[in-house]
Amino acid sequence: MDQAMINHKQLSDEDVLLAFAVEPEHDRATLERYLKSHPHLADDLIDLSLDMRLRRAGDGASTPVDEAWIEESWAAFQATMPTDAGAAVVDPFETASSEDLVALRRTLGVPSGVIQGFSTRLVDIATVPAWIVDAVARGVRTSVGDLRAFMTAGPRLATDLSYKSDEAPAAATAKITFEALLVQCRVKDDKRRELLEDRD
Amino acid sequence: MGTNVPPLTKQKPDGTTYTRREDVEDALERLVGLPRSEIIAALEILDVRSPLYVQSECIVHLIRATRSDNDQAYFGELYRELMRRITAVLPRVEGERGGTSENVHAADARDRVRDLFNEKVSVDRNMAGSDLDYYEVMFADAIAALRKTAMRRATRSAARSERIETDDDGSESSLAVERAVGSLDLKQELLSEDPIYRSRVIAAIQALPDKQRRVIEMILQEMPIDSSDESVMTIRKIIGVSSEKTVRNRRDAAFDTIRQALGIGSGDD
Repeated sequence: MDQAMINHKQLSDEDVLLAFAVEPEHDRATLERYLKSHPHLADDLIDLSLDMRLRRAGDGASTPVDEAWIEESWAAFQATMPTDAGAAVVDPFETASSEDLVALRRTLGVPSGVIQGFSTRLVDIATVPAWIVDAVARGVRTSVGDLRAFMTAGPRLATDLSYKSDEAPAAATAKITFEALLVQCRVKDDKRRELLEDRD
Repeated sequence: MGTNVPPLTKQKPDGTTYTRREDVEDALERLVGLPRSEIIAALEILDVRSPLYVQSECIVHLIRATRSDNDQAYFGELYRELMRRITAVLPRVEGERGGTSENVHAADARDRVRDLFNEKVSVDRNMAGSDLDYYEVMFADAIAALRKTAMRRATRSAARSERIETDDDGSESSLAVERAVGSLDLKQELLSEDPIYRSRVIAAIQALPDKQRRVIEMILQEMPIDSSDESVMTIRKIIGVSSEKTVRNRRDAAFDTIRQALGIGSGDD
């Protein structure tokens, strides 16, 4: 694989949209160039092109400032800022209700083992597509930042399982990839592909 | 003039590095030399034409530059202003559009954009990266792209019943009368001197169904509807339909709706 291909491959969908957004020109030639090289993003590129056009046309129109939302955003951000180095990492699965977890499982359409892969920190969060991390964080009512912070620590024992083995239960020693977790939980091939798709 | 502003590091796929606009570089050179109290005071300037107005790209840079300090108050002022800039560039969701599939997701787009942006700011504060560079190049457009990403994620994580759109040749209706589409020049309408009229044109376009809106953008880009030359990129090929009639139908339906929204006679009345 040559360097150009490697670069191309590494460009996430989010990066493609951002790169298109910050192009100096958004004329037909630019749009066509992106449509040609990223046909799977055609709808998004066209939407974005129009969004930018309409925003420019609306420049100068005053929008009422929602100060309550601004303050709420600031409070939320402050809460994610480490106040001191030893700040405790919150376990979002501890506070999530069983209904939350069931709803999350249904939203993603996965067996409960997959959710457990998150709550036991078995899965390496770096291998999970961003949209899934986003969905899980929302599902357990936390921020993506807090979920990631929680997931960074090593695997731990599931708290709500009874072990029938003679051996003392032990937490997994190493994390596994998201794909391996899906295989382990017997998620069907096509569903697995859908979940692994990088949509950003 | 010695530069106190480190260059961006994000690379384009061709290996070149992104750069800030010249006006942003100049403003940053000036801003980084100012006491923080003066920067905070400058954030109060709302007139974008004022030479002292702090561009959003500069605020992104200033917020990143606070990585290693503990001045919460200063950071807080920059952060709040950045949030105001985000809301100012996001499209407002019209109430009557609430029922359409896209706008169910657009309704909380603002929160999602903020959450994604917060994550990027947090990551950048922990370790200097290049992901926020786009926002120093062209803030408003980068936020538009982030909104698109947020909406894609929302669509992915919601239970989706919709599938890829089908060719709607079959639904070609005799109601879709071919008419002189040239009589409505949307480009001109969007350039109207009257900001209230402009905002009505914008709202009318935003309210169109996705399929029609996309055709409108490609027409505004002056892409051909169809071509016998296989190498030419056409609207028909991009939206993946077999008949150019489908494209024309969508265009005509869109123009019809826009005309009605703007109270321009369409001949249907």
